[in-house]
Amino acid sequence: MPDRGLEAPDHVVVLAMQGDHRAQSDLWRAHRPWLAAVLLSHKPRELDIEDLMQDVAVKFVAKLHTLRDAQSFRPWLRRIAINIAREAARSLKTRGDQSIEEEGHEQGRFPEPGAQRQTTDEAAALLQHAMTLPVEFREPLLLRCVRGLSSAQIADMLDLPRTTVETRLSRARRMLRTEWRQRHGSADGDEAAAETESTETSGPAAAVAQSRRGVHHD
Amino acid sequence: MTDDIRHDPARQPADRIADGPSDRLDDLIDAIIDGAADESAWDEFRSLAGAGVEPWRRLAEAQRCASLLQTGFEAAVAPALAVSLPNERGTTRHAPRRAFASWRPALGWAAALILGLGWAGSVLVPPDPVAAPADGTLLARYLEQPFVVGELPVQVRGISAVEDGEVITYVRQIVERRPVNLYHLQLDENSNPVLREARQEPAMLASRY
Repeated sequence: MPDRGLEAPDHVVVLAMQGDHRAQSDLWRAHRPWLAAVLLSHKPRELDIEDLMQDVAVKFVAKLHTLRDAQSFRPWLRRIAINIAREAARSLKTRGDQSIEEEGHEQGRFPEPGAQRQTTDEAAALLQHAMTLPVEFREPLLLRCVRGLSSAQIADMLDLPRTTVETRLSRARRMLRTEWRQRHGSADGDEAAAETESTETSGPAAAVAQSRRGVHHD
Repeated sequence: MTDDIRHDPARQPADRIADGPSDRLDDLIDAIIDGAADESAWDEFRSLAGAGVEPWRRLAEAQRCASLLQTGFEAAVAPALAVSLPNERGTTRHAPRRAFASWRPALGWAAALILGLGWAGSVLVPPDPVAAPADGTLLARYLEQPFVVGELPVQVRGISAVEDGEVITYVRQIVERRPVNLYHLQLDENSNPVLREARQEPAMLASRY
């Protein structure tokens, strides 16, 4: 049974399909967060998400009247977002913009430790790595970052069994953690090992303290 | 809103990666991160962790990872969340400017029309034999002033029928030239503020703008 918690009531969708501007605006605002996650999952790294979102907004207004069934609103909207992202990727390939692509890879590098904006940079780097996961893992992982979106709703949106979504989420998180651990472990593993021996060696307090220091052992 | 995933030993999805203790630990960690771990899940986690630091370290690491991913995600999608629908954009910020801009050229004419009507009223209304001179005398006197350069062609703004004929509304545009003295504030030798006439240098004005 799909969770309809975040789903717009059907009558709002119907009103929007009939051209009601307020209903269209309400729908757009309610669904914009997860649409952004879908775009982020499918867009080429080099393209600006804001530009793609504007394309989705234009198509949303232009094509909403063609929607046949109000209940299929969310899959329909997701399909629009994916098509726009893929179309943008195709035109990017046609242009062969290598310089931008190189710049995108540059952004994926992990920053030097001790930088002022370490947390922000670390977050951006982790997201960059999430973007390299296969799309079947990446999309549920990023959709799960949308506040208020449950696994059941993601499953409904992706038209997958909930257990499959949970499995993919779990695997995506493990891949991400492994990557993060490898990058951090290689950077400060030795120093951390020495430090850990001189402090607490067991229990949750020690683990949390190590995590805050970026200390990881395998 | 949170998932209603609860710890249930019987609920093992068919496509779980493996069923070893390490994977079970990961499942529990995922449930904890999602806020879906109940008391029995926590009990199981504690019993798997025992006295070792490793499971707790993995939990802390997973929480840190999830938090960083959330931060990175929110920063990445923030620009997209500000995008509004095309039909909303026209009614928010730019529309009033555009509407005002379309009226702007007409405002000058409207002001001239009002002045013209005022002048026409003063001319067409039967003059007070005591207070005002003869018809057209005031205008003629005004046109003789040294600051009057000339008059632009009359602009007819409308014709409307009335009981005894028609009213023609038109604007007479008279061009004046008036020198304007500009002053700027300076300090004299005693540091007292004084106003001094400013000389306008065309070249300076041009370079400023």
